[in-house]
Amino acid sequence: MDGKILVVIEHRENEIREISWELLSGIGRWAESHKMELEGVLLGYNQEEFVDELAGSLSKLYYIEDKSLIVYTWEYYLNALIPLIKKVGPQLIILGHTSMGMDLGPRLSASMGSPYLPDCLDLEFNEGGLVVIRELFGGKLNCKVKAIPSEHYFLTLRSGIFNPGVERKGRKQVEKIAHKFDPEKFTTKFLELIKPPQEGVDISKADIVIGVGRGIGDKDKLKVVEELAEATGGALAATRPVIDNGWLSGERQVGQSGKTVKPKLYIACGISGASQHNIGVKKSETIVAINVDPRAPIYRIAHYGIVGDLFEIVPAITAKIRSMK
Amino acid sequence: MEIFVCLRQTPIIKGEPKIQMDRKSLDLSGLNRHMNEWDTYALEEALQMVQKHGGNVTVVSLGPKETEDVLLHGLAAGAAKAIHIVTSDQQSIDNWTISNVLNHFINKQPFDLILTGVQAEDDGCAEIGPTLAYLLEIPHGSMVVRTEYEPDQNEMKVIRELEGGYKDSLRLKLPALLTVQTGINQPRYVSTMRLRRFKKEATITKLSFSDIASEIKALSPRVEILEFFPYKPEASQVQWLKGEPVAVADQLFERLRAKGVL
Amino acid sequence: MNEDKFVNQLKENILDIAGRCRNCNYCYSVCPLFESTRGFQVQGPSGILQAISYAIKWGEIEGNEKEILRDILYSCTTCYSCVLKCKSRATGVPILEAIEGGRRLLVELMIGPMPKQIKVLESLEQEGNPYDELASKRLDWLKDLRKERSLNNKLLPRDKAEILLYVGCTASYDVDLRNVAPSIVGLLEAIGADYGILEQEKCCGYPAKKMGEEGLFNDLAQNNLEKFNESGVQTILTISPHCSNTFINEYPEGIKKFKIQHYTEFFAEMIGRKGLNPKSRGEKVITYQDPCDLGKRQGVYDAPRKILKSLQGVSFVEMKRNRENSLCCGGGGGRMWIETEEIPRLSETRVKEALTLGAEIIATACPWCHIQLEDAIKTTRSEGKIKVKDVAELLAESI
Repeated sequence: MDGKILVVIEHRENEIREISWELLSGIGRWAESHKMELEGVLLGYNQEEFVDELAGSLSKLYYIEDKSLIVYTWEYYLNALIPLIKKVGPQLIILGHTSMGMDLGPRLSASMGSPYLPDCLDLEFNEGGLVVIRELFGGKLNCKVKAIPSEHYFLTLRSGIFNPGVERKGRKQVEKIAHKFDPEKFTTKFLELIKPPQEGVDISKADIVIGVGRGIGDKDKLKVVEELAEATGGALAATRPVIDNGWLSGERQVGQSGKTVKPKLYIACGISGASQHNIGVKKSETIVAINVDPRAPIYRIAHYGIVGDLFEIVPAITAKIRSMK
Repeated sequence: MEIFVCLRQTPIIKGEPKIQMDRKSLDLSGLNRHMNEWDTYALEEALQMVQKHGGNVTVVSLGPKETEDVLLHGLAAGAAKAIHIVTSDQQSIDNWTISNVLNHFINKQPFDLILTGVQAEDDGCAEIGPTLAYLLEIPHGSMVVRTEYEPDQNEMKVIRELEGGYKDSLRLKLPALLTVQTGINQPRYVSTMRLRRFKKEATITKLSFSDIASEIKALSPRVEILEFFPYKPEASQVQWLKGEPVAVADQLFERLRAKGVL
Repeated sequence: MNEDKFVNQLKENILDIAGRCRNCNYCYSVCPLFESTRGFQVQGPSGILQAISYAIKWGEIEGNEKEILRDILYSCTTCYSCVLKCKSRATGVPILEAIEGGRRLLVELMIGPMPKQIKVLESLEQEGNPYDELASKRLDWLKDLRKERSLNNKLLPRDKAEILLYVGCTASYDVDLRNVAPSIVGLLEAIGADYGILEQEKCCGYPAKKMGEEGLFNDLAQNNLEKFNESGVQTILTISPHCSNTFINEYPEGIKKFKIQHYTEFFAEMIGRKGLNPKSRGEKVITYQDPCDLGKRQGVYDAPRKILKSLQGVSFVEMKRNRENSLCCGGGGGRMWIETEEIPRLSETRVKEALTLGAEIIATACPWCHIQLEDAIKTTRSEGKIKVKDVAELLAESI
């Protein structure tokens, strides 16, 4: 096909976020098969070690450095990326469908008069143009979407569709870019990054995670999953609706806007499996799903599926585990 | 404060959506429709703001006749004004076009704030908020979970939800646009009787989508849906465990033991 | 706007009722909430009355404590004990009318209902049941039953029948009650009754009424009444006493042409006749939870007892607090969907009372009592010591 792909790298708290590694890995392979160059842009400050980490996975890495870029804000990123994109001329500009991608993607593409294709699961790009696959109605349906012909196309890709195993083939090209910002003209001021409370449990570190969803029905009924967590020595996690209801505290939220977990065992109790949840758990080694609805999307990612009443199934599992100790 | 809330009416899909034979359209007839869940939070946030700081909420929505219901809901919940940009049933309009039509209407009015939900239940694009902010040339904050209006500085402080329990906080100069996340507040319930009363007595301003669209120079869609297809599980890996709870527990335990998980 | 007129009318009604209260506090002694929260949550029924009437008088309804007011008003289970007590001992104030009126007022002012009840109302409106279940699955239990045995049931209103078995939402969908509707169908078959079930049954509307959503309740009532009329039935049997109570006491005039009975009343009359001869169940000590809506509201105490005592080999013991003094299980009045404040829960107290009697089975005739007691057996870790069974299940198992 020829041409370039530009991936916008994400980092937070001195770590490159996993989504970026997924994109570099997956898009890297895709780029090779489509004979396109994979380039990336890192916006940051004093992050030379990132540069080293990343440079091997791309044909070229652009590093825009400025104190204001320690954290992400849409205005600074927009301001720096537009001239870069104009200069580099990639056909595809790719971000993760993350809080950053969702915040920046639409505005960046609109600023450049280009089509925006968010939360894509797959893409095809050739002389005919860009066609992507997206979900609708929370995953109940898929569709193929075509973009109008354009000089640039902006996409966000869903996390978890690629594996992050990137080949680091040594340091390729790095171009450091100095960009002058004019903050007097800016409208949005970054105040602070708020970290999750430290005293809470860190579900992402647990070997076994028991997930509970709306199917539990009520806060008083949590006992049944708490006992399973206790019997397995696992951590209790919950989907967004459970957290929103205040039945469990925020640091236990699992899913797209919560935490991503990759335990040895994930048991989903009364969770329907909307894509925002599944993204956060699909990399678990073994997934067991318990739900009353055999068509619940949770079974799409489960290794073992049980259809039934969690208030009968879960205690039976707890009892079995306890009896075998 | 003058606040605009952009609402979308989405179909309530229980079970699987029906795809027409040519795979190019969906049969959404006979489905119940409701206000997009995220937008209910945006509406509530706006109403609470004017309750606290004074002002008016105007609700706007683009859609066919049925869209009146969400606008009515907005009025019954406390909005002062409702604008219905009427589209014909058949049209499937892309988000770029919707953003432009909203912009064309809104930028002629004075406003302090625009609120809308982070994303819509139907397409999940999370696109219109920041796009509309760009067109209106105002700052935006997305995924907002808390707002704090600072009238003295004419600014809005917001807390945004990132991933993994992280949040950030921003200060935006007004006018600005915010996309609001679920759980930010508790949307008030509007009863059937209240809705009926408002249906009899309230007025919704009607505008024509095609009229507005034709006034916008060089407006054309940027994406097009080629076809719909149902979810197809790729070689579904799920093993079903069946039987009475005790039997299922046994089977599960065997397998997890064999895998070395337990 | 007419809104003000409507709101003012509601306020006036409440103040009028509250004004009749003499603060004699007789109602305290029978209020389950007062008992279990030791006066902390609510100061008895008259306390709730005073809360709402002062809020109205002082213009405080939409003030800073509107949520506290809401919580107080919605914590009542509408068990009716206070109304009976006031009637028998004092002025006969229609206390519940004021409490439910208060809920209607709060809903009108968009302060009520309780947040968790909103989804319930939405489910009622969209799917005709409060459980967020698909309307299309409401008759799945019947379809499954027909696979196991042949049935003579009619489907209304396309067929016609003498008796309409109004199944209700809980018996149609809830897993804990999966044997109840089949048991009743089995009993109807055994006596050769000419009965039918509505093809598109919708909720009787009780949750909407109790949550203060009068408009939605009226819609459901209208809809049901039309279907009843079309079915040409004479008798309507219900599984839940909340349904029969709602039909008898809350539905429009048109309902009066039907004979409404809770299934216990109907089958009690049939014992010994027409193939309903209960045989031995084995030695079992059974007690009975009088459901508030069946006992206190409709005065049906003897029918379920007659059925239970007819079961051979069964030893029937009365709960210490029975009949009009029965302790509410905590499920009525919309309470199924909101968090309980009481410790211990009303249902847990009831289970413990039953255990002290040495009962092996608590029988009940209300789906919500059934669910509440089942949950309480689990939370008090009494599984294996005592079971909940519906009167219908016990009767069906014994024939």
